[in-house]
Amino acid sequence: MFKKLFCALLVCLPPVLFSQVDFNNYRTLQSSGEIPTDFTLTSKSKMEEDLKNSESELTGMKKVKFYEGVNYAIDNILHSGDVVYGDPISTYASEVVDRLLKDDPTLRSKLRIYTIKSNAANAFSTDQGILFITTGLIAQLTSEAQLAYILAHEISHYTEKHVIETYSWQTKKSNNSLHIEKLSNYSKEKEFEADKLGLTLYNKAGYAVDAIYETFDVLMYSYLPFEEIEFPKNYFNTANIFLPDYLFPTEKYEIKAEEDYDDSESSHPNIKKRKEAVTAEIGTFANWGAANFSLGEIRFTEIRNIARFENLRTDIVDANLGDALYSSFILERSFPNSMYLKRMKAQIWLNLLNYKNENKVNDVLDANKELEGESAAIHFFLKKLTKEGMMTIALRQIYDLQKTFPDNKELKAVYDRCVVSLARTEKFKKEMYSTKTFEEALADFELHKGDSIKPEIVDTVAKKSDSKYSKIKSKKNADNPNNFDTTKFYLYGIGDILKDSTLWLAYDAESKVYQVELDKQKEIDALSYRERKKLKSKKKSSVLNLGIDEMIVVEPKVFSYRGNQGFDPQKSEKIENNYSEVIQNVGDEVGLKVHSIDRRILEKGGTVAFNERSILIAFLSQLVNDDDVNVFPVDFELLSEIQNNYGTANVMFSIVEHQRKAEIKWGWLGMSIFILPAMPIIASIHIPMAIFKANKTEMTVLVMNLEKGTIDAGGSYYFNEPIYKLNLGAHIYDIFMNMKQPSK
Amino acid sequence: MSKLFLALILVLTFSAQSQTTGFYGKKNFIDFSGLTNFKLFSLLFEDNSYYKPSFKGSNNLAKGYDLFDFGFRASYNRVIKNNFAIGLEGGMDFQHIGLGIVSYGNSSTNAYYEITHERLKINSFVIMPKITLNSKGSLLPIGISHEIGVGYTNTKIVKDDYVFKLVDYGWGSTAPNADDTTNVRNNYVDYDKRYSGFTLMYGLKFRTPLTKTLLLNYGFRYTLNLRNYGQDNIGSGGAIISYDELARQIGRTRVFNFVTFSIGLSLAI
Repeated sequence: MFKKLFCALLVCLPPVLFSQVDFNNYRTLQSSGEIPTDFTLTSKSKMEEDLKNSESELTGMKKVKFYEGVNYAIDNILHSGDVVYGDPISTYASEVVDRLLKDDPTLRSKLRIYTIKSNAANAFSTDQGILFITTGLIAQLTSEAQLAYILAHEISHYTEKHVIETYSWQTKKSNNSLHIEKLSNYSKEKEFEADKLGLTLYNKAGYAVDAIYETFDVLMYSYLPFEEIEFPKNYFNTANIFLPDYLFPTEKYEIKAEEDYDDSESSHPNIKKRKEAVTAEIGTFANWGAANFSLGEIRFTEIRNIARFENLRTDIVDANLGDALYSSFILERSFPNSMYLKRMKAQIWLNLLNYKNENKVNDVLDANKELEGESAAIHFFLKKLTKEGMMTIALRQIYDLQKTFPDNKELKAVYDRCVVSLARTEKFKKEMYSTKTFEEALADFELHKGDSIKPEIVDTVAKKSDSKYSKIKSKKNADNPNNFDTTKFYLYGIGDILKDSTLWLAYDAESKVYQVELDKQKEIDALSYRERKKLKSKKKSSVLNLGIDEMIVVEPKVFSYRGNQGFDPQKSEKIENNYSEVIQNVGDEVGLKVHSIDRRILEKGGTVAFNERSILIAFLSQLVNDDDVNVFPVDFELLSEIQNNYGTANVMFSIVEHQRKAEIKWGWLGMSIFILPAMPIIASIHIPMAIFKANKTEMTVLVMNLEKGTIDAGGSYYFNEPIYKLNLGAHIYDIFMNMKQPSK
Repeated sequence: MSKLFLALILVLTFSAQSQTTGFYGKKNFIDFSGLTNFKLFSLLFEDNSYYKPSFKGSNNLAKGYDLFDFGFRASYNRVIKNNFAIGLEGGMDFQHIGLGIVSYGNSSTNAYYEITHERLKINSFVIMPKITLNSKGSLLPIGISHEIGVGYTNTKIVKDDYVFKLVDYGWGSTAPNADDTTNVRNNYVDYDKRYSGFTLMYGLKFRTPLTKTLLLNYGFRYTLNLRNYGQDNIGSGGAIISYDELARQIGRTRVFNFVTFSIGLSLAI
């Protein structure tokens, strides 16, 4: 009996095990398990290994260049902060690959599958046996079989060594005008070959034939959001706010994608050609399986939901806020109680508010010519909103969420920032708002239509005097039914919030701070040019004064260029190691505790360090989107954990760019020959100067504050020096000493 | 990842300054440099009027180039800002002047000679306050420095056992008179005379750290000397060669030494 029960449990176990994701309290996809060596080895060691084992027809420097370039490029992806390993999606895809290669364990053992958090629907394989799949791709799929076909296609690219073959082909061809077209044709041949060979693996694994055609459809429409669901015009309407229909498009936006598009300059054949070629091949197989979900439909749906939650997060990181709002709308239909979705929604509105305030909201929405499908309604609506409209809806949304979940720290943080943003927006005046709802105001308007101003609804000041000013004031009063205007719907959206004294206390306090800042700026503007310059210089020299004695240093990065020959990956990697070491040593020397989170410590720090690094890089990506706009950190909770783990909210990123190139003006020297005494004088000054200035180095540092979610300090230092350890150390010493100094 | 970081550079386009902390906290540095001529001018313009012993210890003179003059400098510098320092420099230059063939007549013996004299050694003492400027973002003393100094020089001709030849063009004479030879040896120039003047210097120097205290410095210096044409250059003080001629030759040597290469060590303290 017990044995039977145990067996029954085992049968039930897989779906139970794979239904562990709590979408209500979702956390972004993170790596788990032991860190693979793909992430810990240096690009140089990988390149040396590849050169040792390569059987390619490439020889000499071409071979070195290929493996140098390819390994550095792959490492760039692996360490982008967007790649995860051992996560549910990678594990799922690995199991699909297991099924595809069940008869070829040798090949299977060579492959590793990792997921990229990217909304581009893509998958690709490398010459080194890594298969990358994106969350954007998984989010779009409708069956496991579709994923299986895509993976079979990518495995074929790997087995046929298409990457190195294409490179080899390219290096043999002369650089003429037809080259691009020829390369495109060559690349298409490889795609047809991979489609064909992938079919064999796919067929052997017993997957259904229909899914192949669906896969091509998925690829064709993958530029659209992962669902096409009509966005209701009353979506934002509640008892407290009403949005009129004119804010939404009256007509649908057509989906323009076609199967037979022009692919003359594309690396892939168009969908029509691929479908035709595959159809011809499909007929050559006698038997076809019927599996669409060998690992279970429930599990597939869960994996896809993870990918869709990631899509939402990626849209926020990349500041595609219109798309993000649409994704949150779709996901909340299936997960209405998801706290994660509520947090993301609040973040989207805060970020929209801030982009709008900086007059940059069009940067985070699709351009009019790009509007397609159902999601276009959201973009249309957000574009249509005035600044006042955006402020009101953002406040309404964030306020409601915070009041519904008052204990949620993230919602509280978003709410606090929203109040700060509003207090710093001159267009936001609480006096302009009506205490009534839209419906109440409309009813009043209907009641008093055609009347002159009724004495009982004019405010008390107006009653006492009929002066010009009191009349104007009355006309501006949103509570006056004669002033009712549907284009100013927002004036009737926060009547209840007006009564929340706690909010207005915080608002007034921030307004005062802002006013002081404005006054200070006015004082500065009134100064003479010389005084302003002096002040600016003083300010500049204290820009790094943070008064800190501990910080996290993420991934010091070095880009070294060889004269005119471009980026030197090997030298860059070597100097990066030195730079990282220097930062640690100088930190110890000056008494600034440095917690290094970079790829060099991954072997020791393992998956925990890898995940922390990815979260910090994602926040940096958000900040870099637009430094004028104060964005909310998407992984607020995880960043708070990192802050608690390390005991500091300060995070430093640093980049060094270096190039050695002497710029001798031979033209000048040539000209100076005609004036005999000038030539040696010019040559003796210009040539040494050009040689000494050949080393051009730029060191950029940026310090983020995890608690405030802002860039606290940053700047670039230019100097003509080589990037030896002692030189880098001297500059870092200077920077760290300044960081230790408190701000005046 | 790379794109992200490159985007970060674009975001942070402003160049930052920092408060002066010095090189690893050290705000003073001492330079020791050896100088040698950069013979660009000499080779282009100089005639072969320098006479040197044919070989060391030889009594025969041969024409030759003045290929190697040298000097040294020591300076103390104080960093005021990360890219600005003030300092005081002192040093010596060891150079040569050549006077070509000089005619000499002795009225008491009616002798008339042409003197071919070994080039004369001159030593110059230099002292100058200077400022050192680096570009914004750099950190003194490392990197490229532009030095500007205005100083005082004092030059004297070194008394030595020079080789010289007298050719007697007098009627019937076949060999120089012993008194005349002694006279030329002792009174060819006035060795006690000092030639002073101002010197303007622009230096282009590069310092590379070897340790956190020791740095290698190298670069080029461009020096312009202003001769003193005052009253004290009139006459010869009883010597065969006039002060004015010597001052002219000293000035000429210095012009040819307009560019000097310097190399040495710096101490950050």
